[in-house]
Amino acid sequence: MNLQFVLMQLFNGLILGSLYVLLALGLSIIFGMLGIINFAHGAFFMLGAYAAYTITAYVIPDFWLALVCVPVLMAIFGAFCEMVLFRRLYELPSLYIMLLTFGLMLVLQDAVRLLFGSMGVPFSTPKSLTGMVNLGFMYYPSYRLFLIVVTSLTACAVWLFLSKTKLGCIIRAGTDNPKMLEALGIDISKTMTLVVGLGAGLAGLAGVLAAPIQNVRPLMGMDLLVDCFVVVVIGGMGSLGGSVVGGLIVGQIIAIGVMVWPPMANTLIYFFMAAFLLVRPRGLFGREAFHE
Amino acid sequence: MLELEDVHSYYGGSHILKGITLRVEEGQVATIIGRNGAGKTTTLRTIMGLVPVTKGFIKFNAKEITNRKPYRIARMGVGYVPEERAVFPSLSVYENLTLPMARGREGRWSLEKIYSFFPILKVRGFHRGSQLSGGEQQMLVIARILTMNVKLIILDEPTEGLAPMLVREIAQIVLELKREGISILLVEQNSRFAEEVADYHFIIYNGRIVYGGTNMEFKADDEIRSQYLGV
Repeated sequence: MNLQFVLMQLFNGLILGSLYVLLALGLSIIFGMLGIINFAHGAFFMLGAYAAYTITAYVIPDFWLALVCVPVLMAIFGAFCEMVLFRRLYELPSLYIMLLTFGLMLVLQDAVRLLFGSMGVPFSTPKSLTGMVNLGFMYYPSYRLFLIVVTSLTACAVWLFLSKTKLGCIIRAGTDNPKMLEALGIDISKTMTLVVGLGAGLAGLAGVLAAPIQNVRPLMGMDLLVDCFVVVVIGGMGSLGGSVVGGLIVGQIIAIGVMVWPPMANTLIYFFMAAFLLVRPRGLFGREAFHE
Repeated sequence: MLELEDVHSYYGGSHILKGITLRVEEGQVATIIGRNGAGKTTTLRTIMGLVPVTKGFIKFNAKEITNRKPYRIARMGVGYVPEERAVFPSLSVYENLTLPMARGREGRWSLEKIYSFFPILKVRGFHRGSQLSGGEQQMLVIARILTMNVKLIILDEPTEGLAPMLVREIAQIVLELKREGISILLVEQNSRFAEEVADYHFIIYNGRIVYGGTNMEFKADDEIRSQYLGV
């Protein structure tokens, strides 16, 4: 195992981690605001990849167009789901709405399977990013480097939006205590639509970005979603900073696992999570007694 | 100003309010006193629209607000300070304070005026909500609803868990708000505090209002006090 390989793996871990960050941020704000785990989140990711495939294969073969359009389309789709489906169940115990998102996940996966088959579809790296880049200490695929840049920029943009704008402030307050927001004269139903839309848009973006480096297949979101639960648990339920740090940690654990003992790479994160929770039951930045 | 007529509501499947009838007049401080479990908090939550009314009606400023959405009731000028303080822990003090101004109107209560009432909030502006002491949190939550141009404040046990010195400070604040023309309805277990600030008292017992009287009448009525409050 040479240094080059180790560095390469750490970079790959960073890529995986940054995809986790995009997904976990959405999961976290939805969890905070709606008080539910969105099981359809992985399906949103998968749908983003398939939407990118549809655009590039059937409409205009332009990856950049897909990169811009798909997150917007997915955000609209997420907002639509919230307004048409989720909203009807807010008055019921949150188990119902979680079941709904679980059902939505199955429906989306099977719909995609019906349309595109269960084998997956080919997705090539955009032409302008097919080469390698010399980083001085190693050569690295330029698309992967591009992916790291885009996800970090997006994570920063989301961070700025949440921390600096009024709307972001309302969303953060909502993840603390949505009922209290209403008592302060804020119409949270609009905020909820926005939050689900934002979450789905981020998942869609992750889907487009992942399409050239992962297999685009109906179940691609399922695996990632389960890993994202680990991310959110390690980061601390409802904590946005925790999603970012947790995502990067889990990405690196998998990357290191691949180097050390490949068959166990994906299992390793559960061991890590279990050990971590023994030391710190509420995760990195989670609060005590969140969501009583 | 605020009028409840035979209000019933359920909480978690059990019938908690079994006919609450009370009135708070303009500029008045009224208290609801009663033992634990009598329905004090549920009454306030019901007024705020957080618990659905199954029978009866609630009027605010002569407009019916029964079963309106909480944010609409808040926008009409009702400020609610729940028992659990409800500072947003992950927001800074400044963000907590300015959150209700999201809709961009600044009225009678400018930030400067609020800071002159609660200087500590200016000092602690960039601290997180979770870093405040209990008394500071209580002040922040009261200050926060002032930014909404409230006409009526409903306070749930504002003195709970506070040191005697802070209780006196909260009493001063309540009286000053009254001087500013704001009506106040508060739930209290601390009857000394209640007698110090209130013009009118209601006693709630088993989901019903069983007594209503002015502060003078209430102080003089030892019988009612011993019967319902064990004073």
